Amino acid sequence: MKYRGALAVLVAGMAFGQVQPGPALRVDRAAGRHPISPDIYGFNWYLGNETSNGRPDSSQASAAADLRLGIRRWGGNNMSRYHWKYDVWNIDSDWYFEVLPDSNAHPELLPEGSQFNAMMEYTLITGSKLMGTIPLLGWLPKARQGMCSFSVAKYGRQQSVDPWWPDCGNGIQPDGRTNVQNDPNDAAALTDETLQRDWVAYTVSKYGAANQGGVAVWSLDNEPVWWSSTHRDIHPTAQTYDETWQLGLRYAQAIKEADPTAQVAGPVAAGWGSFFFSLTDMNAGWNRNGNFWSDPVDRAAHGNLDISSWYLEQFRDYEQRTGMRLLDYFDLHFYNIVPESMSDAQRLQSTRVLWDPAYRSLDTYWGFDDQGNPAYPRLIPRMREWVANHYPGTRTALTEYTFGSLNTINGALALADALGIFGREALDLATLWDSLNPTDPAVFAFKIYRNYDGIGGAFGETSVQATTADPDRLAIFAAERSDTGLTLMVINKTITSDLSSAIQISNFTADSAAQVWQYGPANLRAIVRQADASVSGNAVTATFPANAITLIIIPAAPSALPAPKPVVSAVTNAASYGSRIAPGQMVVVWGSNLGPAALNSDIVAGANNIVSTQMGGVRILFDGVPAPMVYVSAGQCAAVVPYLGAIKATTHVQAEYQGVRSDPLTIPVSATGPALFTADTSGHGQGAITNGDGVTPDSTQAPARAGDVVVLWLTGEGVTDPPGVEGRLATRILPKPVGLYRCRSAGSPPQSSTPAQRHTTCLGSCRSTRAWTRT
Amino acid sequence: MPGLMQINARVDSNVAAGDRVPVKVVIGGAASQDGVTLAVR
Repeated sequence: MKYRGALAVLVAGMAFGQVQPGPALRVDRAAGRHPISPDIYGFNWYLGNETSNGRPDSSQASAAADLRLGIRRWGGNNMSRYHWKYDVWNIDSDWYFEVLPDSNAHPELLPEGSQFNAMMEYTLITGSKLMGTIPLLGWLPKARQGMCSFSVAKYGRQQSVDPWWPDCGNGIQPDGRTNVQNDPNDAAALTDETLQRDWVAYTVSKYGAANQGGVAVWSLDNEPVWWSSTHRDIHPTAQTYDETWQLGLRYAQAIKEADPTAQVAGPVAAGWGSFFFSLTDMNAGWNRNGNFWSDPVDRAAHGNLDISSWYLEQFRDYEQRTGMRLLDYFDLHFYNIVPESMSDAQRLQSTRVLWDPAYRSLDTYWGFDDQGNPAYPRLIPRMREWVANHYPGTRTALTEYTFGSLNTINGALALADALGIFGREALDLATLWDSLNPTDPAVFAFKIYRNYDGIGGAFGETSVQATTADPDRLAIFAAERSDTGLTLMVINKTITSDLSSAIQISNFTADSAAQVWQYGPANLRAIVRQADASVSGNAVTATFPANAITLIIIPAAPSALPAPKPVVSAVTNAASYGSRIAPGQMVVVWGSNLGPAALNSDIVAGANNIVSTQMGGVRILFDGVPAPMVYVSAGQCAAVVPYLGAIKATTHVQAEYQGVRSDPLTIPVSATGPALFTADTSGHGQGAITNGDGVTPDSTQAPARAGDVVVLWLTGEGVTDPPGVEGRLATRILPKPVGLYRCRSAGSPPQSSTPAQRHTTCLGSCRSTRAWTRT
Repeated sequence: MPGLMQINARVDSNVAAGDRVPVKVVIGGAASQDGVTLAVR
């Protein structure tokens, strides 16, 4: 397909008030192309309504899935102190160094039912993946019981105590200056990397390896620069270069031993100064000169390399010695950039800290570099340079960040701008840290990128060049979508002015109309579709309301498409051809122009045993989620309904062939829809059943005997425990249907399962271990 | 094969023998289709 020439987009139907001229905007589909990682659209933990008593509430799964988060992170201060077997953590200096077990009704089953497992499973059913945190400090809660590190009874009066547990103090003497010296054994026991290796191995046994849908990424602890303050009860000394590397090495080795496919992220540094120095360095500077940069004693002992460069080089050298990469993500946190008192305009301008070499942070801490000169952070290019110069191939991650004010439209604009910058600057992973409620405008900043229409419509996956003459007035980001459409995200940052602006789009042949979606002050509860925009010749005009995010989706012209547009006419169960559709079910999609004329049934599975969602140029999408493919042809395709795409009452099915996508067909979805496969594939008559030898097909010539075990093959069991992973073939993990199940034949009573008996059924070509017996 | 589930089940010892003994699976309150049979002697 060729794209040529320039075209114009005229956005119609918008509210025009005092429209002022805006900066020129340009998009070039052929320039600056690179993939956008879906993992930049992530956040830490849960939304405000996603938990009940601290655990994820499955009734919120549908709404959570609507955000289409690429990744969630289990992390933060407390996770440096999590003991996975006891399912407790020390709350460190965040709250009187206490250990407070939750109200788990079955602690005897731990680690089954742990809070970590609950988050992992919720993450799976909401279509995302999980980043966990491996504690590095060794001292973890010594038991699943309430306890604290600074008992008043043992250590005497302290500066403050927990008003609900007065025996637990804050570990500071009444003078407010002197730390209490404590015995770490009071509330902790020393462990080593073996415990963490066993944790990773346990998660692999329960959820699969990282590349099979298990825990995707493990952080190496959290913010080492604060270990001696946040966790001073167990680590009272200042962080050093050597311990950051040595602990990282030991625990990364343990992670990779247990799961070679797991990704590891470090050093999880906490802020600007800690990108260049250890706390030992910064303490020396503060003590001598009152600044963080002027006496780097630790850095001087390590070749005068900043700690980020040195840390990366240690892992690089390790790989050169051993052939094994232990560090996959160069992971930083950035705070201290945004003064609480900043104005709305300053907040919107502050996103330039992520990329602009001419922008000096408003924050005094970030305002100076490691030589004490004015600093221009340009954080993401700087991170990419660190990696390129010191450990090429390492990906970049910001696993805590915020621009604040997430409950206002101003905060939403800043976040939307940051998400656009992450994609444009090729950041690999980002997880927002802040308290976020489902109705906060910032939630819609995620949604307009990931699911603006509620049926999976998303910003493109391939970033293309987009430029603005004034990024403080109009920001623009552009990306091509897999369906050959071009998506443009424009953010009006002027606070008060509607702007009319030019968009020059090159190297793209557009259809005559474009969809326009908008989120802004006119409706803070929804992303609203506007009237379609007309696309005309070479005219280049658009208008963007103040404080609004505008998404424009421009389809490619039909003449530029490589194949006719597919049409989906029906979806049926692949075994019975009935209409009851359920998550995880194999279905047949009927229609025209769905795929190649000749049948293609070569199921493609990678080394990870995950079946491909693309076959012969064909994809089937449910609410925008690609389905694992079974076979394809022009008139019918078989695929497996994604677990995510079908957790609502309806789902929208689309076929895509050679990048050309059909209109959606809306179909109802049920929790379960069991159907037995039959010997002649008609959906009736002799079942596809094998006799007790596991080989001989049951038939009138070879009937089963009463009392024999037979094997039935079916589809449509619905949601499973543990949650299903899209397209994963049978492994040692045998998911069981969540729905109560029973088998029945004529003349025999129903055979029901109890929750404890749900062992007989599993996904894929797995073998079960329990026979059907009368209960 | 993704989307394919296996059940190992014991045929009840009291089931009436025949070439077309109806068989059903019920999961979560939903039953498999009518008309699927099992040959039992």
